[in-house]
Amino acid sequence: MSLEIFTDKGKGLSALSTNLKLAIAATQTKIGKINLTSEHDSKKASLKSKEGFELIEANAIVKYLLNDFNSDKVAIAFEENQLYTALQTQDKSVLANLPALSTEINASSVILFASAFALDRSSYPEFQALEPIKSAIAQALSITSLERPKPTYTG
Amino acid sequence: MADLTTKFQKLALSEVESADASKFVELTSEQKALESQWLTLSSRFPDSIEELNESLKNKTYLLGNAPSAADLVVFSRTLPLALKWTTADYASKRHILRWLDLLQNTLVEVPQDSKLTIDFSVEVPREIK
Repeated sequence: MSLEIFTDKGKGLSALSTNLKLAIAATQTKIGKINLTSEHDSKKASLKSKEGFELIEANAIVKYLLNDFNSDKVAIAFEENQLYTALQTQDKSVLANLPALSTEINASSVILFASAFALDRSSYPEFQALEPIKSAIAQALSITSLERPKPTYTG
Repeated sequence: MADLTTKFQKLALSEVESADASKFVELTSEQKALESQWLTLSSRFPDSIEELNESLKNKTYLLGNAPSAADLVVFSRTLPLALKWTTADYASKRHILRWLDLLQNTLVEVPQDSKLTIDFSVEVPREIK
């Protein structure tokens, strides 16, 4: 199956999380070489095949590319509930409850790491020091145009 | 498929979140990914309702031509929204309505007061593909 992955063109932390998930999964995929494309018409991330198969949700894309549908469900639930909301509100208090993460690259570690990193770039230092993760971080940061935080006037 | 739905004993609406996946056909990797996608996205409805409608355009069920446990869970999360839709929503949600009606008539036992009633006399503009 010929696959192509399209990046999230949003400007928020969710877009960084999504693009980081896709960048890591694209390098670790069991399916074969897959390109991450940032030049496309849609604003949302997706995976498409020429045969008509399509995924539009980043965690499902990660699981599919890594062929890993049974990794740590508790970690994924934490990401899909608490971290997902925190990325919208930029609330870092959730980071105090981050589950532990091994340095094994699987679907749950990729999903959990990407959102924790998007919220706070010092999250999971051992995981982000892994070679494939380092290069995926550089790629995700280069294709995601984050909005600068608005200055807060206090005077 | 017809064989499966005729043999399947309808599940009560309150039981669908814990539906036994082994009663359905084994999933391919593509179907497992779609299942994961819709379980995640349906937990955030009404976001992604438009995408659900688009996805059901070419499929009888969420994962293809056969029902799955994911259909049941997503059905239970979609039905409360659909009960608030009016005929003005029919055109943009036509594929979801077709799918909901199929499920409530074959796989899920919906209490009469929660059942979706679709007005089939409403004229919906032809879909632009």
